[in-house]
Amino acid sequence: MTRLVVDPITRIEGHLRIEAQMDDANKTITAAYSSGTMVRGIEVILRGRDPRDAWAFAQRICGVCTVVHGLASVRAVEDALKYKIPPNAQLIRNLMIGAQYIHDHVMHFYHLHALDWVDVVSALSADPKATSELAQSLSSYPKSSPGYFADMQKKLKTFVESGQLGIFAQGYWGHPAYKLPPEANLMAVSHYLEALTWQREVAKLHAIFGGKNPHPNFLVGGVPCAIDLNSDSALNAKRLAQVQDIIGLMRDFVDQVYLPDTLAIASFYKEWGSQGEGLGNFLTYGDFPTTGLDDPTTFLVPAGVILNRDLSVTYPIDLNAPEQIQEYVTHSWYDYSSGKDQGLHPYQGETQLNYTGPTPPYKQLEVEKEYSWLKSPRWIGPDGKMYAVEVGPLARVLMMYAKGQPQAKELVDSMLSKLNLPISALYSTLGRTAARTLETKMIADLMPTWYDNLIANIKAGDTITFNETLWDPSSWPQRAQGVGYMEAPRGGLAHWIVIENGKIANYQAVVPSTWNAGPRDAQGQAGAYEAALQGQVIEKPEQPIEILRTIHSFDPCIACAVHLTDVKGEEVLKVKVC
Amino acid sequence: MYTNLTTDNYLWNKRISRRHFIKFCTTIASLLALPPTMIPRIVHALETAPRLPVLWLSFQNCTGCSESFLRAHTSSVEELIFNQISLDYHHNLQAAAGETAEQILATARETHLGEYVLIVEGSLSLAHPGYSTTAGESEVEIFQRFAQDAKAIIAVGTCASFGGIPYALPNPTGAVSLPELVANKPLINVPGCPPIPVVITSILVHLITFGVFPEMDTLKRPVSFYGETVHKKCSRRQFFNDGLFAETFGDNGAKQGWCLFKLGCKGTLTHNACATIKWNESTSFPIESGHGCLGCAEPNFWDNGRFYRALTAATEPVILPYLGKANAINSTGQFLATATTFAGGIALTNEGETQFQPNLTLRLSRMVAIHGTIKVEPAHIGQAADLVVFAAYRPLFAPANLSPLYFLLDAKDNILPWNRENMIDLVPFRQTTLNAEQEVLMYEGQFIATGSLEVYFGYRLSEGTVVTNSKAIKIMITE
Repeated sequence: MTRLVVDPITRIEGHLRIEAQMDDANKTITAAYSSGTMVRGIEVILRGRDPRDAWAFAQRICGVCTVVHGLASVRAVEDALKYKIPPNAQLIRNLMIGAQYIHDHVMHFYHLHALDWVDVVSALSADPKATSELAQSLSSYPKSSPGYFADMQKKLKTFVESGQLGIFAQGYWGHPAYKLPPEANLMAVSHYLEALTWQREVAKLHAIFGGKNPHPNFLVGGVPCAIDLNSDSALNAKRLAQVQDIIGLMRDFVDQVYLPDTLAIASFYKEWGSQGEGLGNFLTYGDFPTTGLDDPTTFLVPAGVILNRDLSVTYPIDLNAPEQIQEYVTHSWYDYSSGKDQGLHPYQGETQLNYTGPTPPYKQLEVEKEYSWLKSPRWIGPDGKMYAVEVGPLARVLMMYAKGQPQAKELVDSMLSKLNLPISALYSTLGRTAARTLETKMIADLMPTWYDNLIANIKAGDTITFNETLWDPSSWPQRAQGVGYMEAPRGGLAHWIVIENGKIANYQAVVPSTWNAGPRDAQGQAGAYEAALQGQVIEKPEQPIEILRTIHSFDPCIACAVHLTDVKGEEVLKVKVC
Repeated sequence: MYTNLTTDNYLWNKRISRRHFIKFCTTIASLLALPPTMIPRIVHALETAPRLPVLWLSFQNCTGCSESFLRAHTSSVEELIFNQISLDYHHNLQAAAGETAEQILATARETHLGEYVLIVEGSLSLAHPGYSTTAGESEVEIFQRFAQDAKAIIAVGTCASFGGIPYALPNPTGAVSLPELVANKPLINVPGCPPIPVVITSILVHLITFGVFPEMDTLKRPVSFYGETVHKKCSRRQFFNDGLFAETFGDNGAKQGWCLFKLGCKGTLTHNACATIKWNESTSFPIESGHGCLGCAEPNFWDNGRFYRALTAATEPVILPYLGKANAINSTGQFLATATTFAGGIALTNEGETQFQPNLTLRLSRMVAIHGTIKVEPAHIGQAADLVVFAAYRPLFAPANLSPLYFLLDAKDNILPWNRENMIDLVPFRQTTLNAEQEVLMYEGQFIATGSLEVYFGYRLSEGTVVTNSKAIKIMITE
């Protein structure tokens, strides 16, 4: 038996450590453990604050998922106060979250995930002319001439020959698990750089509506930007035209680069359609009103739970039901006042830090005891059983597929037929990554609808972006509680808030990466990452690329996932360096 | 193990146009407020210096600062890493993981002892070594090891600079900023949640060119980016001056670009370049897009008052205490008669306190505003003049016979020593054409030292006559 430790898992957000027990005889992982290794305390910091300010604090849970926690937070406050927002505000929020998906998923694919599949060094031996032919056979993307790829290759060559390899240093280049021909590698590396340029342009959508990206501004009761077509100081005709251009940039890149690249790369890695399967249970909260308005019956992604890969049955989910969603801390560095094996619904959620892990520096976690700053959220089914579930793009695509959403069916079936893979291939590392691309395409296609609805509203004379009626805390009930939920790029996200006397009495965020990256629960059931790694064969244990592939297929975001709370007055240690 | 290829080689190979490159250097020089004569030096440095080794470490962070860095337009992150720096470690971007990543980090440190630049995102937790670890090691220890051998340290973002959100009350993890842990090592703060990316880029270019950080203020921020408040150059500023305020989000005033002060904007207290450089290639900035400034580049902004509560009741006409008739002295030192009168005072700008007073005792940590108005005598109205601001300062417990030290505020709001004997040396605070009622917003923010201050302000006409208040605004600043 060998203990594989990968810490830090790089090309993710945050502090993630994976430990895996490997059977040396068949190089197979027999058990894997996922650990978040950093804590800050944002939910505790939120207590006692003005609920209208909460979004700004919550947003700083994560700078990668930059809009999602802000949005979940304002939705939580609005749900608690039964606070309706104007249609324009709903549409602008949709456009902002849609833009976040497209930005985030493309960056995940190229900048966080691609180097698991794409060998940068191999790209140096590509023939630019053949690369051009390959690119043109896949897509009408204009940057595809032999000269373009020759330039890119030259730039890369000079860089590599300098010896100062920077971020590309010592990848697992040349590992036999890399299967792409040099030309496909060169094409993908070129698109890595193109995507860096592209993402700067599309982030401007957030700056137009929210003033900046990262961390654009939100507002309880609406959105902060005012609409006036004739004012230089509001969302005017020029600004709206700019938004339309950005949506065009997004759709072009998704259709001409991201989608064809995903298919092309996947065709060399079909064996990953049966690896990294994971739990087989999936959960969605539902989101993306196709009419633009907040009506769950129009959601592109319906809410529900799928169990044991059975798409014929979906179970409803209720975020307010105390018996349905519970968080466990049996294997987490927290205490509950009712004991460590008890699950708590987020309205009653507690988080008292109690680090019981090995004293740093340490070599190995004590996985039989507590081993993570993440909790273990679980869904309790109608049968009373506790289920570990996976959230994220695969869960959403499966839910749409299960419910017969026509575009999802068409995209999934077409992809599977192009790759000549069975539907079971969706339950895999490859399936997770492909699902992310397919849903990006669907959301990119929905952006113009939201945009057109916004324009139609404005043309009809509606420029309202803010509802002032419940702004003043004196108009609020003495006590209120609510949940703000959404589908964030990494999966179902919800914030639960309890408001008392105009202030936050309790605040709990259960985020996608807590569902996916959390440790074992009170019954010893593994979390989604842990389950997905179990049974994985590691070809070269000193270069565990297989672990990176499967973990990255979830797009971890660990700053999001970590909970936080009261410290019992530990003495602050004073140190000085230098 | 590293060949000594310089930036110049890359420029050749990259076929970057010379014109584009010079333009980049010019932009950086202007952002750093460097004289144009420095541009050739920047060009030379970037062309001949080996790429600067940079290690970027992330501690108690949200990765928003790295995301901001990825949005940099001048230069873009790809230009930067191919041409100006060697980004040898960046957890979010690098190909290598786990043990290999750790080896890269260790090797980079050993190869470039005393030469690498350490960029840190996030605060550090001191309450328990288990609260923040990488590869099983406490991040405080990691930081100490890498800080010790760095050429210089850049604290990126408000968490690294001032503690940021982990440090917000009740600071559950005992978080501290980097400056708390570093002595005797060049360190620059780049606050902002996140910071404007070009500030990071410009600091790196300055470091490559001159080997040192650009000029910093007392909070270790680069003066060229944090020297003024957002308010000073705000696109809605004229409406503030005119007393036109949005009353609620999306109302007619908000649509017309009126000032967001009443909706809680903290731009008057926040030192940052959002209003001038703006965000995402000058697309917008928060106030332009309708939301007040949160004050995210300032220390303790999370605890400094609610985001939607107005700092002072700007809606009420601000009443400034009368400071009496003016002193007027001509260029030969003679006192002249004048009808000009002065009003002014100091106010604590924390929530709820709006009263401007002629005399005030306060703690060093308080936020203040010092404002004045001058009723200009008819003969001077319409004349070109320099507005001037100066103060007599005495340290606390100074012996009674010690003469006060004089300081003035220059056009960039720098506090400069001034020899009072020579009025000609009185550097202008602003240049203007005198109105009948001349507003002088002298100071907003915190004081930098304890002691007593007597504040004077006024104007100097082009023929040399200086007109100031006779009765000073008197301030006592204690610990």
